[in-house]
Amino acid sequence: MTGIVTVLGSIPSPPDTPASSAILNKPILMETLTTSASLVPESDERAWADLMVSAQAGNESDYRRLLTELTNVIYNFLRSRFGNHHFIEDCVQESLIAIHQARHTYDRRRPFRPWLFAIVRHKAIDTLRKHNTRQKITGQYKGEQETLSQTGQQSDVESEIIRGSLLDSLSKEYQDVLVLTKIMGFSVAETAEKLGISRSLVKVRVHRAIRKLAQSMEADQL
Amino acid sequence: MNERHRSLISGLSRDLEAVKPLPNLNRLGMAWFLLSAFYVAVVTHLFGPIRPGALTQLVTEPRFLLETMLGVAAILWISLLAFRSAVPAALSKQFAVTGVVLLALWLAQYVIGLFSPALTPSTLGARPHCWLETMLYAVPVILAGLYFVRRFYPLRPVRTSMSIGLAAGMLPALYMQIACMYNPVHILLFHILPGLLMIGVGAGIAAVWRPRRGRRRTKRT
Repeated sequence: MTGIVTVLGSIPSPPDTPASSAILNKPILMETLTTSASLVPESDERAWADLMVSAQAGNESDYRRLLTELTNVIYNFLRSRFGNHHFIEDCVQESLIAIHQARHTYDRRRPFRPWLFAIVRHKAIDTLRKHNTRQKITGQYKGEQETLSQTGQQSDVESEIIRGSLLDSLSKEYQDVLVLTKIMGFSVAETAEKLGISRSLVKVRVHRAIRKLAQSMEADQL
Repeated sequence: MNERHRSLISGLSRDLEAVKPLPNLNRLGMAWFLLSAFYVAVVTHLFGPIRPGALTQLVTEPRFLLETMLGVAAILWISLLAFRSAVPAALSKQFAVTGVVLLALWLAQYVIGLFSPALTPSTLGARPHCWLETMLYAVPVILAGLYFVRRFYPLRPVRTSMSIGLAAGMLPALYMQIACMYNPVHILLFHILPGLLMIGVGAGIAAVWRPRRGRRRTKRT
């Protein structure tokens, strides 16, 4: 149980509510987005499009406001698809940087939401693909994992991670390799040992799992 | 939102520079296509005569005209597709599928031509290095296309470059059916195949000549 607490402690807490949401004269944006970004109202889309057009003209405060609101939207979008774990932090940051670098490609004649989520989806998969063992979880947790795997139990934390709807849609074998290598931070060798399969099979499964996730995200209707 | 995000947002929005609005992608793609087609026609004429009577055959042989027009439509569509793919969410699945269908329809004409050619096959107007010409003429077209699309934000730069390579390779390949001998086997092997190889060249150039993603970042104090 100590291990679970340790890991849950490292999971990022949900973002704050941006003060700027009040300007949009409606309930907080985050509340409407608790489960899925597809619930973003049309008025938000228009407001974001206006803010982006203003940002393209060089308006700093509008841009800050837009990025602040999008941070929450992206966070909730990713959390609803991948579950609540640490790599989402990196995803949100990468997405914000990508939005900044791509801001000149937003066309006011097109809707904002598809543009935004095309970038976020791409960055999520990109971050997951690059995500390696640099974010190792605590040794304490690893110890607990080993004990649990010996007894054939799945930890609560692992269940929490898999709870993301997208990961949930993967088969068990893909879930296992993805969670162990990309989210819990085990190396390929460690994962292979835990699952009792070869290293090359782990690599193949990780590659296929990410491809399946990318396909699922592409098919995501927003 | 945590402190990390706050400071990132603050950094990104500080000293924000205005950016130029996105140009019309269809117009830009069309301009690239037309200029490239003009360049290919000029350079092909400069390096050798075209097949005698080829232009007349466009008027007198409806199937040959259909084959050529299908090629023009397919390449134009692929050009627009390539430019759209350089902007997030600008390329729809239907648009991409239409491009692939047009291309398949065009290439199917040559496969059908193996059994029932649009023109009587002959060696009249044969160019000795047509396959090399096809590949060489395509390279500047690819570079020009990549110069434009790199200014946008292609989420999959290599895939975008492959589309540019395909359109650029197919332009001289198509023109060779007017400039070089007409024989479906020859067209498939010495015009279309080298044109298709330019997909790899496009991908290779993109792998080396990657978009500089950091250049539009704001100055930090």
